[in-house]
Amino acid sequence: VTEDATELAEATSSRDPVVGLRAVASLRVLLETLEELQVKNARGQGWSWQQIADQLGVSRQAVHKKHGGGRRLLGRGR
Amino acid sequence: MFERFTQEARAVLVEARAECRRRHDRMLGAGHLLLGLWVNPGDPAVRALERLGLHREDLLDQLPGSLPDPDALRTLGIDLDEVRRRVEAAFGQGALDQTSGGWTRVRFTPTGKKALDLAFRSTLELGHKSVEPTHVLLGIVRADDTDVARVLELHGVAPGDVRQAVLAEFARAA
Repeated sequence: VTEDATELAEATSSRDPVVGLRAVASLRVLLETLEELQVKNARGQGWSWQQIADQLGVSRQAVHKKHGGGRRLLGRGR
Repeated sequence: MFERFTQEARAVLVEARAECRRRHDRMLGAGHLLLGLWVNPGDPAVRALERLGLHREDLLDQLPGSLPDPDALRTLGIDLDEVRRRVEAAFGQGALDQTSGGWTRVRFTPTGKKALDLAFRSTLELGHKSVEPTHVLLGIVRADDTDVARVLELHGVAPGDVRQAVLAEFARAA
């Protein structure tokens, strides 16, 4: 049954915008998740924001803005 | 403000955050708070919603979709379960589902923030001393969130109906 579903999904992927766009959106989400995980890991290993930015191919400011902090709920910090 | 939230109301926020994370939405909005209410299934807030014909399963589908979609990824030849397995092998169980862990870095949408402010205000206006899930629900429907409004409308429910249903729950409890 799973194989059938996979085949069906693959058969429809090329043309159906719903499937195609959702796949792209899913990929982006997965990417964001993995990025967060890897950045956290790198920081945990003492990497600087600059080093991380270089590996990601973006500016230091971009990485720091995205992963460096933000508003906290319930005032409980890291 | 959050000191006035009961354990149940805090649980709603925790669940809303979890829902936000499951959907990989960048900001926590009134829709997440609405879904979060079901963390306390027997709560008057949930009773009020269900009496109006609003159920979690329906709202899950009707509020903007949750990602990543394993079926959609499979069309690209990506097996999300396999990705998860490998990530967990390196970073520990649940690593893929537990990014933005705990309470750090929660950002609210304007209406999400407004819903919580209005939950607090509703509590004061009613002369109650702590913010319960019912007050959070009152805040949600007062916040004029587009997604929430659309879902309510889909069920033929007006914000005023929700307010009435909540007040009826208060009357019942008194």
